[in-house]
Amino acid sequence: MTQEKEKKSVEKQGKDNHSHLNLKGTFMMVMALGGLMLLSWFGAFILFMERM
Amino acid sequence: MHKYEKIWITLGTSALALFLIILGISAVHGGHTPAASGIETINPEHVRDDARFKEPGLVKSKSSDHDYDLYFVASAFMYEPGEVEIPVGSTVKVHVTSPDVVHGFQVVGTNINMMAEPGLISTYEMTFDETGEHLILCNEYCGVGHADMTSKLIIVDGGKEND
Repeated sequence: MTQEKEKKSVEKQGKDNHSHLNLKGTFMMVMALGGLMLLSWFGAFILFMERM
Repeated sequence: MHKYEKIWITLGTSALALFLIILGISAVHGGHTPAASGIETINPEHVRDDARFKEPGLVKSKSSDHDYDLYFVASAFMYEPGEVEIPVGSTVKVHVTSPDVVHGFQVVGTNINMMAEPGLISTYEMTFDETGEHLILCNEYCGVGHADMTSKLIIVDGGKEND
């Protein structure tokens, strides 16, 4: 019953609606990549400041 | 839109905004200028006619904001001077130019990493707080002798003047 309802609502809102998708893994990967960028940025910055 | 999508789009957009703000501040207040603006030029064919580069080396500065001026000529395939002693704790403004092709000027273990370009005088000011040796090397490929092109900065206690 609920599945049918969900299916209907998905059809209604079209393909662009992602709220029914499970994006937990994607989210974790996005955060991990962001963290890696921040870490390498600060790594280079600390190296720069130490050599001033 | 998914809740997670909102989070990463917000983070990504704010990182971009932060970057643009930092860029704006450093451009207007931090003295960041395009490489060619305000830089001193010199005729590369007459580098030796310039008093400063006739016998390049460490010279007591006339300016009050640094202690020494250090002049370097980077040419194929050597640096002049080949070795410099700098008293520890002194602030040095390095001036580098090239009479021939583009060379690099990297002082290993410091933030000094410039291009030595014919026609331009590249400068960098820094304080040497620790004694030790720093290798200078060329990191712009300049010809067959590129790999042998080195010099040395030796940061010493007391220095030349106290000898």
